[in-house]
Amino acid sequence: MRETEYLLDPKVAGGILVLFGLLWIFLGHYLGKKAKNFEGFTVAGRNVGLALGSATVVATWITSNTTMLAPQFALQLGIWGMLAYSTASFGLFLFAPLAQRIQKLMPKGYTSGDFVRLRYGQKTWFVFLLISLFYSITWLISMGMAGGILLQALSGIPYAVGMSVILFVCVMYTLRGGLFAVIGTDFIQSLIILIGILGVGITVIITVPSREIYSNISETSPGLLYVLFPAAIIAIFNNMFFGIGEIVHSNVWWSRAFSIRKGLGGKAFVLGGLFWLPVPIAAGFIALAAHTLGININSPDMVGPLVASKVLGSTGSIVIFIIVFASLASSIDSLLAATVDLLTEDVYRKIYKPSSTDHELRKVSVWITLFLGILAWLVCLPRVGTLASVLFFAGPLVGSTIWPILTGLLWKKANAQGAMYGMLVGSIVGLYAYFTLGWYTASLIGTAVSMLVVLFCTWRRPAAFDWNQLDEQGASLEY
Amino acid sequence: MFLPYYSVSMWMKTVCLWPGQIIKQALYFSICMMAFVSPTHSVSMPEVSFSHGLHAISDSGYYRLQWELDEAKEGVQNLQYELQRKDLSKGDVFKTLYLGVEQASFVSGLLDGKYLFRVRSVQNQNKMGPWSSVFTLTVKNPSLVLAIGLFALGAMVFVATVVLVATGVRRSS
Repeated sequence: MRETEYLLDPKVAGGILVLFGLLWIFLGHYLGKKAKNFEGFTVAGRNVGLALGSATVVATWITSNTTMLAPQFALQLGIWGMLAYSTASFGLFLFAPLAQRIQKLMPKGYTSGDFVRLRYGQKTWFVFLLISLFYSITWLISMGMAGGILLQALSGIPYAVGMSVILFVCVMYTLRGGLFAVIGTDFIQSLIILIGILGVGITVIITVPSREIYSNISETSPGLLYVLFPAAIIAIFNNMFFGIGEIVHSNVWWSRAFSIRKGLGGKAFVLGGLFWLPVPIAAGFIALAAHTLGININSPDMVGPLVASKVLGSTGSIVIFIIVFASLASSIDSLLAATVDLLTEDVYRKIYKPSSTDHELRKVSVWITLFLGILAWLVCLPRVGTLASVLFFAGPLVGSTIWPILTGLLWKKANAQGAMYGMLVGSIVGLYAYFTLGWYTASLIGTAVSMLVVLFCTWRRPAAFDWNQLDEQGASLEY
Repeated sequence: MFLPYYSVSMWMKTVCLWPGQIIKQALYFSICMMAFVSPTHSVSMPEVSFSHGLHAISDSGYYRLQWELDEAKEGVQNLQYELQRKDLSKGDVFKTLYLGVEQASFVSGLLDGKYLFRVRSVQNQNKMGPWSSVFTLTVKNPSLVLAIGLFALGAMVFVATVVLVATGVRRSS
């Protein structure tokens, strides 16, 4: 076997890791001073402005998947794959008006679980919690694993070291500052990621003539340009519904809706979506230039770093390493904070101890952050490759939550049976499609089946929900 | 390690002083000649074979090819690999896809059909090993009817979702 060559010297990579790790911890510590109570820790005092709000939306949605998987999508599915990945921004656009409505209906809300419990009752809430916690925890673990694997692939830093450093850094600043720290660091991370990816994309466009890229792909990989490439056509809506499902149901996004200043939620999500939209397109274009640049793609998920390193030399490798570290941190911290909220608010306070005080909840959230960090570290450590693929099962599960959540927010007639059976039947049929038809059908079929169940149940037994029930703490509603 | 033939001849002429050493010198000469000749002959280049069998089916138009040396490569410097592909549906000839040091290559964007791949070792771009056995990749993408059907289903659910949000938000505000 040939000796492995890394894009970046491990010493340089280690230096960057330490430097940025300390920067995130310092910023988290500094910004987190405001998180004095539970409300500060979980929803950043409900007073986040437009700039920080938009930035946290962009940074959270740019995961390591966006920087590594979007080029892979372009390489596997071509132009359609690139566009399919960018449709994940539709979830942000769709959630924009809902964020406004959530702020109106639940001025003192904390989590998406709160909404489902108050809107549909305990049985549906339980099903929702199972789906949401499965999604959040598997995503957290897969991101931790991805972190270790990527840092090792880029620089040779041992998997266990890279993974441990990333988790440690994120746990440290989330522990200290909760959502204040997460949103503050997200702002800087989003700037780094956007400038870095667009910079590499523009350099590729300038360096490699698009005519050459076109003729090269036509010759070697014609399917990537074929307008009726079947796998790519199917992937478009499947990917879109996976993205919409993630955003609509996940507490990562609901906590942002609660934290952004009243009246600004919609704008922040639209701006975030607009900033995010070109990222997978730029990243995808980078991948399409690979063959023309004479780059052999050994492993499809490494195409982005390889092209960046080729066109920008060692600077490109450093830029990509920083982008990957920033995108990993911005997603892990958000997931950590949102899952801690879900466990503290929905499980500890609502199930275990409803009489808990604000101070007590703040302390519990610290312990849960630590617990989640250690759990993720322990599960990531053996590097069981198949574990990351479990996240793909989440596609039909989150897709099946779209219609129950949307109708619950917008229709008085939507009922608990429709929501619960929509999630259950949509998930089961979607998983069946995953194994029988293929992964690229599961989210779409899960969403479609859930929609039909919700529509049928609403038609059969329309409810007459009183929106005031959503305002658990008695704030006056303006709608 | 080997000595050039010219040096060996000169050494024989000047150093061969008594008959008892002729056998030793003949042996040494033979060893030198073997060592001298062998690296220039293509047969001595290491053989390469695909590490994932010789047949595969792809239902998505992409595949990761991997290959390995059949024998140890010690003593062979600057070893590279040449990967070639032939598209049977085009009545194509083998064309080089990759020449380099890596032992894997990802191919994608393949339309329905049969593709043949072969690989060999290359040294200093002028000494080649034998071609490997041919690997056949059969690409059978999902049916277009299924793809368009799912696309239409996706479009309907998407439009319904957008209408739900648009009308719901308008009504509530």
